[in-house]
Amino acid sequence: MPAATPGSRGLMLYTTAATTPMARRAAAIARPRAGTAQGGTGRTDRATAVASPREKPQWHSGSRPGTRRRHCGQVQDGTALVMLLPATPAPQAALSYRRMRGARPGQAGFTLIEVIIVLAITMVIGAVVYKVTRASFLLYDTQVHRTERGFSGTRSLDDMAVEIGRAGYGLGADAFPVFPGTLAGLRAPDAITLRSNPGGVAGRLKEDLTERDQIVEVEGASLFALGDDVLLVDQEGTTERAQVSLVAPDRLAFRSVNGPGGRLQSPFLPALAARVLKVREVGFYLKKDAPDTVVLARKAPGQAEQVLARYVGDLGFDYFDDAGEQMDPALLGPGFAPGGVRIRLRLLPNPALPPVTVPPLSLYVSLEPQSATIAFDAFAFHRVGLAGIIGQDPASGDMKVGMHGWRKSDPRF
Amino acid sequence: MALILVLVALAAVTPLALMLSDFVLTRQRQVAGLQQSLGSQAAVRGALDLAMTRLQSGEIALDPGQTVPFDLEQERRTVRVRVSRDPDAILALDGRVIDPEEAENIDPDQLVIDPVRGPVREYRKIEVYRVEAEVAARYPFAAVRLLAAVVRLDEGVISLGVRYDRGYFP
Repeated sequence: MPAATPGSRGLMLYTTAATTPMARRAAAIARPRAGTAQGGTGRTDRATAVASPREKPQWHSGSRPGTRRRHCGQVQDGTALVMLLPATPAPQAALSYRRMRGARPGQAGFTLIEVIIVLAITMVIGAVVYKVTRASFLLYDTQVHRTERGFSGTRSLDDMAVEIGRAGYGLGADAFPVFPGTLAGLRAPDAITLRSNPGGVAGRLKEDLTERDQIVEVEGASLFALGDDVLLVDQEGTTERAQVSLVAPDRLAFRSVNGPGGRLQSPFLPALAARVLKVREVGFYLKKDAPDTVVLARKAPGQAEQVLARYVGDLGFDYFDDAGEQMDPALLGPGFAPGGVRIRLRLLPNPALPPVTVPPLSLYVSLEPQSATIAFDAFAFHRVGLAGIIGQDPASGDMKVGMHGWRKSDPRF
Repeated sequence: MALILVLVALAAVTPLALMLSDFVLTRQRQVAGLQQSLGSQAAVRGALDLAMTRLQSGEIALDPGQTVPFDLEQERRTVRVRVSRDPDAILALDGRVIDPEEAENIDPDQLVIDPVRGPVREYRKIEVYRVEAEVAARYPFAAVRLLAAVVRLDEGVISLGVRYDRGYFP
């Protein structure tokens, strides 16, 4: 049983061997204050509680070495250090004790440095989050922009390619299926007008047509309706856009679309194999939608004008013959249809969105041979053009081929 | 607090990341759709060429009203082709197309003499065929269908008109 070493009033150290560093440090801290510590009565703080070992044991009861039994209050063998703090408040000693033992749950807290560090970390993380979020929104806007540009360009190209592929269907090459210009009939490098006759509706003039609203006999007149857009064509390559202005049994009258007041610009004579073809014209052209905004527009019969893409930088068409050689667009005309068309489209970025690079688009579209020329003699002086479509027979509902032909004989005959 | 900030950041950035991935997929679909469309169009055009070659060689020989189908197995797509023969037609020298009912009294081999004393046929008999070729739809890509009017003459098989349709066909 080790002897208790009484210190100053109110402080006693029970030690068997104060040899450990902790014990020595505790003793060093407690000793200088021991003389000034005053005992107190009736205090219920922890210092008081630990000052009376016989009343309230410091350690859990048990029989392990270094613990005290509640019944006798004695320190067991093997205890390294038992410190009794003064009954009176001794803040530094208590603080040292807390430091030695560590903070208890009920008294947890942060030092100023810890708070500053946490705030700094929080600010850094906040800044990173802000940067990432801002970059994400910018990326989002950029990707929206890029996707929209890509979609507009692809869709515009596809739409033009489909119509170019249909050019001449039901018309034939002689009816000027690809016009390098606007729907109004003006040649322009950044516009194209594509003609087809999906229903295969065609008629042959039986009388000379020289005036607007002149009623003339037409073979196949029953196929036409009032207001139909038609193309008047003859063997010499004369073409004129017109509308059916009057329909009578076996007879039709026309008004020119391009001529002033609807007057026909050219006569159409049965002697020159004049014929009338119902036509579907689809035009692609650039126009200004706002003072500085150029848009690519599409106009088809029976449909309102449709804007395919905004902020268009450049639209162009290159024409190639059947051998793949580039053609001068000025050469295109009745009987001179291209074998292929290359579309060039360059879209600009939307100025209201983050800048992106929009690559220029290009697509080559081959034109199908939508008609054939059939020779009637060995030297092909006498020829007939023939175009065909596949449509539904109104009577049976079955698919069937519809054809119409036109004379293409040598002019000497 | 830092954990909360990270969670908030994740909650803010994750939808953006999902949207960005959606954009990427959208762009991929655009390109794939265009490629699929162009590829299908080339496939049905190739089927038309093959059908015309078979008509030319006599490998496909049909009577009026008959139909022969065949399939072309290509990489990852099958082209279904139907070749049908319509009633024959008579083409006159003046460009008229005469229906078979009206052509009973016409001799297609009749010759006339032109002003320079050359023999000229007054009519030509033509065999009329329909070629339908289709690449079936495969979601999200629409089907591509080709319809072609083809005629066979003594000198060969020629196409009179071709159209492509895209969509979902019954």
